[in-house]
Amino acid sequence: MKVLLSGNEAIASAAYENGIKFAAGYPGTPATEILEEISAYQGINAQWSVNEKVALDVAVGASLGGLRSLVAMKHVGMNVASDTLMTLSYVGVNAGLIIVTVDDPGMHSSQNEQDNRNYAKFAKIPLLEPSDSQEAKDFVRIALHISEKYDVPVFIRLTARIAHTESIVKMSGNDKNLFVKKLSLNPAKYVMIPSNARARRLFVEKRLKRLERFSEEFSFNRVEWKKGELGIITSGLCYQYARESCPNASILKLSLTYPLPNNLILNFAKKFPFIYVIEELDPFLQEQIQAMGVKVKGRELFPFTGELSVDLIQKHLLRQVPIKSFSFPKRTFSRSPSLCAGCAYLGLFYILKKMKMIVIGDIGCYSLCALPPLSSLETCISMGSGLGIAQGLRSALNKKLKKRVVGVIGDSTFIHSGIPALINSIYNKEITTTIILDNQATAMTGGQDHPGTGVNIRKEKVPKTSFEALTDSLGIKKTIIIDSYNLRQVKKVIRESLNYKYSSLIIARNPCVLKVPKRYKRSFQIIPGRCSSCKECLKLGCPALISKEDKPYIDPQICIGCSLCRQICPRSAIKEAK
Amino acid sequence: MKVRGINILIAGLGGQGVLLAGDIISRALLNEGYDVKASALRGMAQRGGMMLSHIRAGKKVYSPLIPKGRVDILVALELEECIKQVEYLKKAGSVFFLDRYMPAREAKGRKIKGPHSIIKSLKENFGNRAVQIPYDRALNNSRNVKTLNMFMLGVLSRYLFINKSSWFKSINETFSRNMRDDNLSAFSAGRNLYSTF
Repeated sequence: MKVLLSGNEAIASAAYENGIKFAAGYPGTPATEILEEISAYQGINAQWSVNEKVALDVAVGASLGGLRSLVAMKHVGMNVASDTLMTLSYVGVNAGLIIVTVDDPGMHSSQNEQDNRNYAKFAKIPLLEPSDSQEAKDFVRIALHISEKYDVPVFIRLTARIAHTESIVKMSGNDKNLFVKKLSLNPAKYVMIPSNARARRLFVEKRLKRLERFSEEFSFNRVEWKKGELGIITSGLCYQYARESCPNASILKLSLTYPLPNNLILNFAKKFPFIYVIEELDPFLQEQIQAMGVKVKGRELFPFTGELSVDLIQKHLLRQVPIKSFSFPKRTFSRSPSLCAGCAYLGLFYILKKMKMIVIGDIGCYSLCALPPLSSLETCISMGSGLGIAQGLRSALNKKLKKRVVGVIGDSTFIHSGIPALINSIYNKEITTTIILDNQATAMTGGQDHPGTGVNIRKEKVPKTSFEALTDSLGIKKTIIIDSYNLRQVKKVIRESLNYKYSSLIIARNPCVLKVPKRYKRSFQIIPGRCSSCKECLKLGCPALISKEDKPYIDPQICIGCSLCRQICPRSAIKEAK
Repeated sequence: MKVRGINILIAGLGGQGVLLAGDIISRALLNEGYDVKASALRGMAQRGGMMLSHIRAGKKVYSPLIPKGRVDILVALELEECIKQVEYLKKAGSVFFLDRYMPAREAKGRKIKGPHSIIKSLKENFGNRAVQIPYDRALNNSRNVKTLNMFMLGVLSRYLFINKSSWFKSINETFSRNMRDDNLSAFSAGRNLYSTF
């Protein structure tokens, strides 16, 4: 049967069909759907872990216990998991273990553009790069084979475009090969104290040599000979761009891109005066192929950032004049993302800005508060980093400024990696004000549950992490729970916190508006006679409030009736619509 | 396969159902026996950003993205997103546009083309290949802002070579039972919009 599946869905269906019994990850666009889809299959123990490192650790344990396992995360998640990864390479696996990482060329929904293929080289583990959903599916099977045969965790690296492109996949049926491996305890292999690690270090190098030989024979590293003069080496999605834009070129399509098949590459390259390497992000293939002594052109021809495309190859490599398409005399503006209409963050960040607070945060929907008109977030670097940065910043500032520093963090992010930073502030006597933005969801990635919601990936009820009880035990003297839709209370609580002589915690507890839609069952409107067009309400940045003929207007289709704009209108010109 | 292949681009805003419309067209094309790729990046668009869905069908499809100047049909759910994408159209391409105008927040206070001049230029340049779908009528006929995408597909289905049965098979596969009726009725309403012409 042929079906259309995205790359992420293909990975999930292959996990099921190939006897993977354990899967873990942390939500992150563009990788989120892998775990979501896997959790829908019976017979796979799937979990949202609290962060990517824990996800990898539990998968290592499951593999050790004899279950084929898979971990999925976005590219930056690999940074969190890398501590385990680097030594896991020495340790190897018992049952097959696959790590799926999804990179984001063009940074469509990420804070950086790192190329995770480098991790394969760094950790000395094999790397597979599918070029469509069918390959994503096939490579899960192959990765398990490699993992178990060579005693190694295997990377499957997608990019956002592969993860979110639907293409045709042949479905083969389910879970035929009943796979059972037994627990095999072996301290020399799993306890990486120096004496054991030195032995495993040698094993890693020998394994790499064996994998190189596998790469030479691997049928998915293949040459497509054509009559044209060009010779191209490429991998992943770039293969599709290269094949379409250069139909007459001979192409060496690499699928196992670490370790590389040296002989295959050299034999291909000697047929041409030089080789074009077509790849996105880092010159990962190019540098290795150059080091083999092959004359290579590639990365330097293209813009060094963003996605490649047929258009870019035609323009920069083939020097073709672009098709004269229809051009429209136009002037348009790109749309930046915004918070949802009635989001609880709108009012809170509006007040933080009014009070001239220095708001230090990180990753989540609240990152969007950095954009105008709210413009009230000063940092966004990595998960959980806001709370640490706020401490360092306070210690660098004078008394007057120091008071204005507030660390903000989402509920899921707090559990992911905010807790150690909060403990750090108490331990090191840095007085901090922290706001946990508790919207009871991992909102930015689609509202996934987490330990603070008391519901797991299978929608089962589990004990709920209590932020109050937790932070109380850490030595936070004052914890206040606020309703962000009551702006008077918000203002009062923040003003009071400025003068505390001890660390305080504010929990802004309002559910994500996407989780409880139409909660208020009302909408608001502007009374034309009373509105003076001061546009104070537009400073909220609520998508329901727009400027119509230079006057504020509330779109009744979008307004959820939260009343934040009514609370800030200086002329009381906003009232409930009938 | 009556036609060698087709490139369709759907443009709109997050929340308008661009992704879903793309899924339905691509499944309908799969039902017709084509190789199909459908590409749309999800993520930030949920928060009001622009949303694009590339659908390509043919004997064999490589790049999931349609190169510039190669789009056969542009389906636009908003006027400004429509003019952003016209440069991707073939000269002989067609554009199906909902005449809804929601300018970007960033455009506030700056000189931009208004909805009337956008519609006028589209008609001047594409003639009867520019098919205007009135927002008021679409909203009236589909009775729900959430099924406007289905209404648009209904209009489009009259002009495309895809069999009626392939469309309905795709729609039936896509929606769960409780959503199916609303979406089917919006699709049918769209199909009948220009049937009298």
